[in-house]
Amino acid sequence: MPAPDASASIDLSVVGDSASPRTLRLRGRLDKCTVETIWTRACQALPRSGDVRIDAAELEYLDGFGVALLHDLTQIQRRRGGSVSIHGLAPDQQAFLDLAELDQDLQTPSPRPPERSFPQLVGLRTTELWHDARSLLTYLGSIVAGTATAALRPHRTPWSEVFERCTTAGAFALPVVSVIGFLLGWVMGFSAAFIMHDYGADTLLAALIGPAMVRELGPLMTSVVFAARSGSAFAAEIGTMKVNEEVDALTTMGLDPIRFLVVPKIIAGVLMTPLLAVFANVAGIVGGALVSRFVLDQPLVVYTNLLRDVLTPTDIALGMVKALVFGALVAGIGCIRGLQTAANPTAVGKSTTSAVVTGIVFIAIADAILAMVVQVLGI
Amino acid sequence: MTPRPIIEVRDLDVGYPGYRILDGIGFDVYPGEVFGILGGSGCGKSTTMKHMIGLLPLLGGSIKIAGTDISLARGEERVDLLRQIGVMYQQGALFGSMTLLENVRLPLDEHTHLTRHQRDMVALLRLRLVGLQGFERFMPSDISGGMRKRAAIARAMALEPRVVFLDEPAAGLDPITSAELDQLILRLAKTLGITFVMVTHELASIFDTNDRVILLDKKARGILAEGRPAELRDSPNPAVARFFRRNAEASP
Ligand SMILES: Nc1ncnc2c1ncn2[C@@H]1O[C@H](COP(=O)(O)OP(=O)(O)OP(=O)(O)O)[C@@H](O)[C@H]1O
Ligand SMILES: [Mg+2]
Repeated sequence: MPAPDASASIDLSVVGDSASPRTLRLRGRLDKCTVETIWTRACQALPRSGDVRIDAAELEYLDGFGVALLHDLTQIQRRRGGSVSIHGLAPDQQAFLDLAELDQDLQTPSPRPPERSFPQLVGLRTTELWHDARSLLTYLGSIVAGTATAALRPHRTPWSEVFERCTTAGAFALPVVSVIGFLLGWVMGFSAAFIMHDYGADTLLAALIGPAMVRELGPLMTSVVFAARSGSAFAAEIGTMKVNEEVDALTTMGLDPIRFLVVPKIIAGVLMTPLLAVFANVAGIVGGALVSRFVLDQPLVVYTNLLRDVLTPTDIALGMVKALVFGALVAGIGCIRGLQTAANPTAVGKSTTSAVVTGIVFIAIADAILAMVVQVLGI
Repeated sequence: MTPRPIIEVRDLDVGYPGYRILDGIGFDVYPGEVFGILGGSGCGKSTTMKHMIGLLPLLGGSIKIAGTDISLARGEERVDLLRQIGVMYQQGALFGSMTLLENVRLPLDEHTHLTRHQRDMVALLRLRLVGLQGFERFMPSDISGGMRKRAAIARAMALEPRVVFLDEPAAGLDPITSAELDQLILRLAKTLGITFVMVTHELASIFDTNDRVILLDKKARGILAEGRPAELRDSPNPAVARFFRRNAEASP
C-alpha cells in the first residue's frame, strides 16, 4: 500500500446529472489529508432521495477517514429511503470496507442526557442528599466501632502508621498554625486597640484576646487548617487506593480497611489538633501581647496578670475538647469521602474537595452544638 | 526486491542516563509486518520501545521512522512524526474521566479540522473495527481489561498511524481473549497495512501473529537472534532455543 502523501488530492465528480441512479466518481486518494476537503461537498452531492452509485475504480488509496466518510454517505442516504452502492474498489480496499460493515449505522450517541424538569431536579437532589447523609452516618458508625475496638485492643493498631500520621499531619503543620494564630491575635488586638483606648480600657486587651483565642478561635482555626491540609490528603490518599482497587485488596485479604486506613488517621487527628490548638493559642496570645505592649503602651505584666485572672482552667479544657472533637470529625470525614470515591480518577478530585467542604461545615455545626451545650451547662 | 524499511534502528545503545542495558543494537522493521521484541524480564524491551516512541532520549545511535531521525526531529517535524505512530500502553492508559468515544476522538479533536459529527464518525468506525460497537458511551472503569486494551488500540489508530506500538498486549488477559486480540491485530495489519511493533512474552501470540522477531538478552547486552519465530525455535543456539522451549513449558 503506498504511503500517504500530503500533496495527493481527491477529486469528486457527478457523472451524468439526470441519470438514475446518480453516480458519484471518486478519483485519487481518500485519506486523512484529503477527506476534510470533500466531506461536506460529498454530502451535498447526494440526491434528495433514491439510490446512489459510487464509482471508486480510480480510487488509489482509502484509509479509515475515507471509510468513515463512506459510512456517513450511506447512512444519510439510508435515512432518505435510498441506498449507496460502491463499485470498483481494489480488493484490499474492499476487505477494509467489509470489516467496517457499511450496512449497519454508526450510532452517534445522543450528546447529552435528557433534560429534567425543576421538580424532578429538586427530588433528585433531595434523594442524593438523603443517601449521602445515610452513607455518612453508616461510615461514622463503623469508624466509631473501629476506633473503640482499637482502643480495646491497642496491640492490633498499626502504631507506626499512627506515628507517621502525627508527624505529617501534626508536626509539619506547626509553622502554618503558629503563623495564622499569631496573626489572628495581632489583628484582633490591633482592631480593638483604638476603640479600647478611646474608652480608657487600655489595660484590658488580655480579657478580649485570651478567652476568644482559647475558647473559640484557636480550636476553630486549627481545625480549619487541619481540614485543608490533612482532611484533603486523607481523602485523596484513600480515594486513590480505592481507584486502584487497593481497598478491595485489603478487604479480600481479611484486613479491615477501617482499622488499617481510617483508625490511624483518626487517632492522629484526635491527638494532634488539641496540641496544634495549644500552639495557635499561645501564638495568638503573644500577638495580642505585642499590641498591648507597643500599640497601647502598657507594661507586659499588665497583660499577663489580667490573662491569669480571666483564663480559667475550664476555658482551656473547653478549647481542648473542641479541638479534639473537630479533629476527629475532620479526619473521619476525610477518610469517609476517600472511601466513598467512585472508581475513576476525577472522583478523587471530587472527594478531596468534598472532604474539605464537608469538614468545615461539620466543624461549624459541631461548634454551634457545643456552644448550646456550654450555655445549658452554664460553663 | 525488498521494500524500504519503515523503521531503521542503528547502533542503538539502550538504557537510562548513567545506566546502559544494551549496546549498539540494530534492526529493521518493514511496512505491514507484525514485529516482535522478545526477551527475558528486565532485558530492556520496554526501554527499547520507549526509545523508539521518543519518550526516552537515546544514549547513542539512531532511530529513523519513515525516513525521519527521531532524535533530530524538532517542532513541526516532530509533531508530524508523532502522528505517524500510535502507542498502546501496557495498562491501556485510557483517560478515566472520558467515555471510550471521547478517548478515541481526543487525538482527532486536536489534530484535524473535521466537524464534530465527522470526528464522531471516524472515532465510531475505529471502535467498530476493534469490536467495541455499543460501548461508545462507557467509561474505561466500566469495561473489562481486554476491552480496555482494544479501546486503547482504537485510540492508538485514531490518526491513521503507519506504525502502532504495543507493550505486552497479552499481559493480564486470558488465553481466549488474548487470542482474539491477536486475531484483531493480524486483521488490522493485513487489511489496513498498519505496521505493528509489539513487546510480548506470550509464546502462542508470538507464533500466531509475529512475522519477525528479535530476541534481546541481558547477558549478551544485545540481540541474541533475529528472524521468523519458527526459525528461532529450531535455532542451533541453545540460549535461543531455550527461550522458546522454557516458555512453551511454562504456558498452559
Ligand atoms: N526509569 C528507570 N530508570 C532507571 N532504570 C530503569 C528504569 N526503568 C527500568 N529500568 C531498568 O531497566 C532495565 C530494563 O527494564 P525494562 O522495563 O526495559 O525491562 P523489560 O525487558 O521490559 O522487562 P519486563 O518484561 O519485566 O517488562 C531493568 O533492569 C530496570 O531496572
Ligand atoms: Mg516491560
